[in-house]
Amino acid sequence: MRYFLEKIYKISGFLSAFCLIASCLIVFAQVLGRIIDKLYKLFTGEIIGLMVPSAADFIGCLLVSASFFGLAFTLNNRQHIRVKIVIEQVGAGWQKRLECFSYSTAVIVSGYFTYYTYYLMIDSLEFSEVTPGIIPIPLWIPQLAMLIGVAFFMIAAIDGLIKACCQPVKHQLLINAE
Amino acid sequence: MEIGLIALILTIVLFALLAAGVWVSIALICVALTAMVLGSPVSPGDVLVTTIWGASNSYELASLPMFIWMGEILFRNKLSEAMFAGLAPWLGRLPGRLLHVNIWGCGIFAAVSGSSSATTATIGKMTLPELAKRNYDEKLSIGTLAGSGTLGLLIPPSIILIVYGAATDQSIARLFIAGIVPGLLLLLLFTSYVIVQSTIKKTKSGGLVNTKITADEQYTFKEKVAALNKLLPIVFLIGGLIGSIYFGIASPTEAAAVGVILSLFITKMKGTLSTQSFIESIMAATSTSCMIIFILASAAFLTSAMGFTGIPRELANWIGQLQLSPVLLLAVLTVFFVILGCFLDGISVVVLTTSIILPIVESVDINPIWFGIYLVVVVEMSQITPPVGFNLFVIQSLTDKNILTIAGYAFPFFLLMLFAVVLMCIFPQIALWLPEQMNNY
Amino acid sequence: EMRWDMPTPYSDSTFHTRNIRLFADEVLKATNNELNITVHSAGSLIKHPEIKKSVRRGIVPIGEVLMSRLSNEDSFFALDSIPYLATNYQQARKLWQASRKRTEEKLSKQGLKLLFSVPWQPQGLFAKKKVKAATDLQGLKLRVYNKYTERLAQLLQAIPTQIEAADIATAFSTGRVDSMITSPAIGANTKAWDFLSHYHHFQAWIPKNMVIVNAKQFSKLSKDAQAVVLAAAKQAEERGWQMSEQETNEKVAVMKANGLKVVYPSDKLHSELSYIGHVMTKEWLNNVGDEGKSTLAIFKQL
Ligand code: NA
Ligand code: NA
Repeated sequence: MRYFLEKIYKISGFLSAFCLIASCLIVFAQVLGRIIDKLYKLFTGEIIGLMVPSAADFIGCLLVSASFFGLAFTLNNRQHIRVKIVIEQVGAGWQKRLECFSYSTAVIVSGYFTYYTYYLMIDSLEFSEVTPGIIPIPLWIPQLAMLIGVAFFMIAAIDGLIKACCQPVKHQLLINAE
Repeated sequence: MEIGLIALILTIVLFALLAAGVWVSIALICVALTAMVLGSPVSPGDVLVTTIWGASNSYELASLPMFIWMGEILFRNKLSEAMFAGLAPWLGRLPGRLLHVNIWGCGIFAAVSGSSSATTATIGKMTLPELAKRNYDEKLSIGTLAGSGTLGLLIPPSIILIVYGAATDQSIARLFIAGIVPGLLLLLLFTSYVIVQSTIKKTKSGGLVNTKITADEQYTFKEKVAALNKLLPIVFLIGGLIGSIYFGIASPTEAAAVGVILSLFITKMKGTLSTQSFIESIMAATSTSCMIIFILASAAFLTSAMGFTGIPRELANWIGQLQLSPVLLLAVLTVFFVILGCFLDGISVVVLTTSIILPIVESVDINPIWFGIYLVVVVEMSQITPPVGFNLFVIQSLTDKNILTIAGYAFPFFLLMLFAVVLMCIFPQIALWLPEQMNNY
Repeated sequence: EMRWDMPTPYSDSTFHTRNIRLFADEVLKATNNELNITVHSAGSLIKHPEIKKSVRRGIVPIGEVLMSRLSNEDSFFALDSIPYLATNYQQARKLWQASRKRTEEKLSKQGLKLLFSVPWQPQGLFAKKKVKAATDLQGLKLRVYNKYTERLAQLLQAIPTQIEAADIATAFSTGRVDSMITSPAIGANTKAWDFLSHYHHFQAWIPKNMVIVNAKQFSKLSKDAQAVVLAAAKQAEERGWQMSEQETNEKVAVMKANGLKVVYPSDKLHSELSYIGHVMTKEWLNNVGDEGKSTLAIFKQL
């Protein structure tokens, strides 16, 4: 089980990084096109007009994917921002309670989110919605990425909740001191 | 339900969730869901996914992860260290020394990036570890970063000025130009503050900087020139970034990718880039940016929820009915925006209120370009006020300090921005002089 | 009392938004405060890309969308964006008359009810230089935002260039784009004279916005309220067409007063451009097939 979970977090981080690199490359191809155009114009007086069609739409979709794929990885690494003022002040028993409460909230919200994202995607599929640009991108594709991302996030939140609730009270301090 | 009561409940829910340690993004979603349930008949789940999808499917926002990645590359490959080593000999006599790198670094980076989160995250990644290493006063190094990072919004290009310009039909070109002088004014105010603080502290407690380092203050001219060599890569990078935008090679969003490629190129040339540091940098950028974007998207949901409940609209309407004189109106609006800015992010404040506020403002003959700049400075202040302040979140992720501590460090800079607002009210030309020169275009 | 939140994409001073606010006022008055439509302009509640979907899914009961945004889903919606098919208000009105029924049918299949549709002004070319002949357009970086504008750029031998709406001012100022095709209202509202020098009154095509309502939510209104909404919609459409036409000259004058040079195309240029319109009409017909043919047949008879 632990192996399976660790795998999910790893995949989550990997996919997110992949999307970030991909969007970076698309943008850079766009810039490179302009540089080549400028040089070409310098020598021939004409422009070729190199561009990545619908670049902005692709980048938007990749940004959604990168942002959501990475959520589970980031939660597992404890890098999501929270206010720790109270949690650091109270005793170990309360720390455990607050920790469980926080993770429960995250589980409920991400579950709710996953459920509605599923319907958003199904709706886009049903009405075959696409982006309005030069190349029509079916919206269900990035929405599927979003769905997988929030589902992974929910798994990470459940994992965190179980860890937080099962841990003996005295170990709590160590988690938060991280 | 009564709107005032809803607002009170939402405030309590937000504070309770944040205090309990619930993640900021999750807490914002919960507050927005509560708002939808109490104040609107619409299905909250559908609004949740629609707005979060719309906010994160954004081309403009795509520069944020790339800039953060650039910062990570520079940090992990000792480029930021080299920059500080290069600058140290030159700033030896200036009270506050390398703290000014925070301020002017943010100022320069703001000319490339349109958001305050990207500015703070990128510059902070490079400066904070170096300043800490050199034993600089934490209070001032975090404070200067928090304050100057907000300049990403004011100095062009600026996402928020584009939003304001599009919502109010003001010329974006003019708004951009109008932001320059107030941006410089803020930079000067911050610099002066650091100089004054450092001078006072030096006389009081024997130095802002650890005395061991004070010995390094003496540099020969030769050493100074040699130090310049270390600055070359960073100058090349900044030149490339700014040049790519202003020579029409890249859009402000695309400049971020240029930054990534250039910094990879520079570190490769210097021989510091390794596969390991590459992977570390991309993974760190991934988690920081997906965390920030998730908060931004959650804030967009909160914005929509607020639109459905109508709370900000009612408040703005109420201000309109007061029939105030221009000065009093601006005073009331400043308080209104500062309070709203505590709970909502800057773009939300602009989006939710301009439709109602701008006619009120124009009816007392306040120039809309001036008002846009005023609004951005006030929104900048909201970036560093708790509980919802994006610069605070970014700095927390950089330093792991708690939000209230960071907000405390940033408070003097909040006051300086307030002072800048007062100056702008007394001398509107601070914002208007430069765009007025455009009339002959 | 019932409250309808209505997201619209454009700013408060745009005539579309003003017209919609008048529509909302009328509905409120005529229903005796039974139906209160709150207009959320400039994408402040829901952004343009999500408005149609949100109305369809009932997240908001009513909203405004640029019709040709749907052209990737169904090429039929590109009809009002074909250059030189209908270039003045009279023709545009006829084209709308000819296509309205089919548009309504297509929308009703998605559970949407069309209330009214109001045109933008005839599209003109904004550029940094004077365009006298079609050859002047060769090699000019022209802003494109969908398949149809890209095709137009190709046929003009201009360089298709993608610029996001938010990036327009910066892109022109830094030379990433040389020209764009849009309406005088947009040109004047965005103060195009800050970064451009010439406006060419091409009158290439007349795109439309439409106000749509979720059919289910609409049927929940009382019979009286439904009648009021439909009557107000009819009035809003009529008023909107007038506002649009009236604003054409006003906005051109505003641009002139601010130093933008207004150019009217020569007959030669006009016929060159019309030929391109002819090619694009044919291509459109190939895309949509019979429903396109029958629509254009009706259009020609009117
Ligand atoms: Na900026
Ligand atoms: Na704040």
